[in-house]
Amino acid sequence: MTEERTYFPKDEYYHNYSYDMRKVAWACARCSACKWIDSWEVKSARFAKVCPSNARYFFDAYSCQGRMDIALALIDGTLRYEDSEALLDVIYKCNLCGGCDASCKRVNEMEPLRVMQDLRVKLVEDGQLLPEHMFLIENLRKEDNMMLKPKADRGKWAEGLDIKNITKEPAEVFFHAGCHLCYNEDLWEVARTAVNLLKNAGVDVGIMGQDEICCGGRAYDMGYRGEFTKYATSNIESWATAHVKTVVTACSDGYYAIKRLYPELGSNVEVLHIVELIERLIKEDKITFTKPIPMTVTYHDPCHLGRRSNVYVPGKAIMGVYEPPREILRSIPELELVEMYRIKEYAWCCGAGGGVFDAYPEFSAWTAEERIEEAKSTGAEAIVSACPWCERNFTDAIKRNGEPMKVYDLLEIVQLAM
Amino acid sequence: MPRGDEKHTLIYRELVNILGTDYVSDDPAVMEAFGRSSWQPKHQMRPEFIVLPGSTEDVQQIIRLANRYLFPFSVTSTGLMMITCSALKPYWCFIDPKRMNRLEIDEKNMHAIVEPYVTVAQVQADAMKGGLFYPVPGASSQASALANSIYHAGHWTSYRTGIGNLVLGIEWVLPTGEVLKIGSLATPGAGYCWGEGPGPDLRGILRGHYGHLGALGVVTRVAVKLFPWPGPSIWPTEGVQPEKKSTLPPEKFKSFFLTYPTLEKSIEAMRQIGKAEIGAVVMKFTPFDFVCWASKSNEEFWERWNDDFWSRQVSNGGHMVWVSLWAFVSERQLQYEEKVLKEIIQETGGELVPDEIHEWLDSCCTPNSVRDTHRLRYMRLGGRVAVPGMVLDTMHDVPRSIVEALEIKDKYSPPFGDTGRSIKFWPGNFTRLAFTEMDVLSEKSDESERTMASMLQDQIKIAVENSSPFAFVFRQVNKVGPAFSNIHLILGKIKNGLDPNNLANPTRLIDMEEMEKMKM
Repeated sequence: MTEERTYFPKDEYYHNYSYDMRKVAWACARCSACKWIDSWEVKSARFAKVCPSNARYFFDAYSCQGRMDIALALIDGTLRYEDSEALLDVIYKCNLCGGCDASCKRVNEMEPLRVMQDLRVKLVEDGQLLPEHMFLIENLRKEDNMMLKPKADRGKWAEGLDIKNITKEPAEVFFHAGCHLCYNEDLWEVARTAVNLLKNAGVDVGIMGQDEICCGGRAYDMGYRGEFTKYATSNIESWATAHVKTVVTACSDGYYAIKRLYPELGSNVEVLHIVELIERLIKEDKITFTKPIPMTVTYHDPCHLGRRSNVYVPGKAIMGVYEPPREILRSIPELELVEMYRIKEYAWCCGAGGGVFDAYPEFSAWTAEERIEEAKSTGAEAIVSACPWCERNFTDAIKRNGEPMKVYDLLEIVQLAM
Repeated sequence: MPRGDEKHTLIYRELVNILGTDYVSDDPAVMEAFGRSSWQPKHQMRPEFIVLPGSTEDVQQIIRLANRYLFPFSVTSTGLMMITCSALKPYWCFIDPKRMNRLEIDEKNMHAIVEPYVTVAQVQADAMKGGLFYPVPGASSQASALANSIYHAGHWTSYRTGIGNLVLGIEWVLPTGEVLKIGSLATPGAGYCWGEGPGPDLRGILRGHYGHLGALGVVTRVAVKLFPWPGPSIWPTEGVQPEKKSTLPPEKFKSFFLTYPTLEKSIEAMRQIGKAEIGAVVMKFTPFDFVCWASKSNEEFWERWNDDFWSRQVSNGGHMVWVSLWAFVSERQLQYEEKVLKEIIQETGGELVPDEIHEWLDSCCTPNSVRDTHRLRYMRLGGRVAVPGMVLDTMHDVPRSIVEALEIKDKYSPPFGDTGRSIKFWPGNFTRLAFTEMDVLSEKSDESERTMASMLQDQIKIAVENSSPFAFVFRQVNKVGPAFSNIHLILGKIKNGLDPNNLANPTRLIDMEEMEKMKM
């Protein structure tokens, strides 16, 4: 029998796992798993969808499956850019949250998220650009950040902190604040808390202040692979010069970029999100929480910290940093953690990713509001996350709708409990 | 392509008048997502319009417009079987029911009222809170409960929950735009609790042998039967996919995986189980189905498929039976059923699989038999499967139909991949009938598509010569009708009566143009 079986299938693609943009698109089974969370995780009919784009715009083109069809048609030349007015809208109205990717991996052993990322690269290479993204990228080229802010202001968040600058003296651990924490004044305390925690725990930590530059992760997701490579290469060189062994960040977008993408460009530093480090420090009794927080909270898994943060191995769990933030919350006196319906690898996106926040604010806001609805259904008083982009989008959503729900970065909760 | 011509423009404007600009598209990129059946490599025709109705009234208006301007239309739910509804003619309008997603659980009357875009998983999630469930089809839990109920309606629990006959009251928009309400819905104030009458039971037309593929209109709302659920109200999970575990309480759910020396012995065992009216799941499964379902990756599939245990099963003919006992009433009931089952196993010469195999299968089959989230894994091995045999008949008929299925399988393997000589079947209604299916590995390629076309011709030939009711040949009813009491003539009259302009998914179910040419 073995001899008989060996001839199938003829295409090697099915035998040894590999990624090939066209073959993934071609192999899409149109099973629609990409539109829903794992059926085992459906605990409420109301919160069963995983794809914000399809849930908001309904047409299948606005789903992973539809984008596979479109990718295939563009590659094969059966669809041309000039044929469609809606094409850019269809491709870019996607948060690249990877919910579809988790479902497809479970069922079909494919990585459609990479197809959607590569599709954007193709569009950029072919000059099919969104003006809103071009504007951001222009600013990135000039000011080294994605926040449309001057480079000179990048280090202001750290003013007054007694902390090494690795451009002047080496440090074992580098804290990468990231564009959002550097420029969103409301969240400066998050970055400062992170640095102080590290210092107080005896970690040899440094920052780059004004000289820090963007990680390039958001440019990558927008399809500007060249810009990403430029910033990644520059960061890798700077860290090597300063003998950095570990990079810590409190930004989930940055964590994804540095952990998942930089190694392909030669980076070999250890990469930790601050929640991983805090969990470690709690276990080592270097951090203890003394102040009770009598509050019921729910935790939102950022896409880049969760399902997108690890390399996919077929048959193995779609791992992410799921437990450390939950462990931290559980270790705070009187704080009660309640879970939403869509969590971990099937978490609903905050709406800020994939360039949607910048180009399609209405869709981005709708996605965040949908998550707030889910958070409310748990009875939680607050939604906690570990990414400044998520926090910003949730905060905007509750302000817009006058919701009583509070929004916290996990570090803000940590600071309150210490 | 008439896109942009006067008729196209007129239809588009009228559709926008009905639904608004957000819910109508004729953009080629948007059409592309409904332009390819993923089961077939050949690029198919894009529809010209996709519409997103939000209500029965919207559907009525769309269909009335179709009849005014004479454009064809079709409908799907999740789209797995796009091959049955993709565009074939100019001005084709695709009705995508994603906005029609209302769900209402009637615990007291044990049914759920569902619109087309409500999945089985969604029905279950809300029904289980009240101790009820809707069974899951082989298409998995993301399938539409409505579409499933009016199509095949076979489930992993069909032994107990039946094949077909899960539909109660129905709201159906006919191909002319009128709304037809069936069963108790036709009685003012009676709700959805009953499906038959008044007068003749029209559900037979709606579902018939294997669904109507939207060729007789659009069903906008149905009530589906719910069954008692002895398990937890919230589905239990632990871990992260694809290594996630879902463990149902072992005192309430117990699976047995048996091997038999012959097909006849396995059938005898299942019939005895049916006579004793024990069990919730009784399936004749093949080694291929087990290994494909339970393997977390392709690599694991090939390792398992070629290991000693499974190679031996394949060599021995793969006569494997899977039984799940559920404690519907009490744990004592399950204990009683286990005792009866063990006696039947002993009497019929069955053997339990080794513990390691049992654990591996149990972790997959027991939860997935209720809330299937892994079944579609069979498509990852080559992009699709082919089905040499699929027949609904009696348990006695299985040994006969398997010969026909094997004949076709052998003829076309290769290029199809080998899945052994075993056949899967769903005993239905406590083994009063059996739905058999033989799946073989098929690669998504031009060669495979050509082979599929040849295979269908063979199936038609066998169906005509032996009156063997292969499910898929009934999509070629013009050809096979004469062998089955001239069903094509009856179906042609029904189609003509309900759809005089032949606009509802034309050529599917029955090809009226061909009928006319042949003066049927």
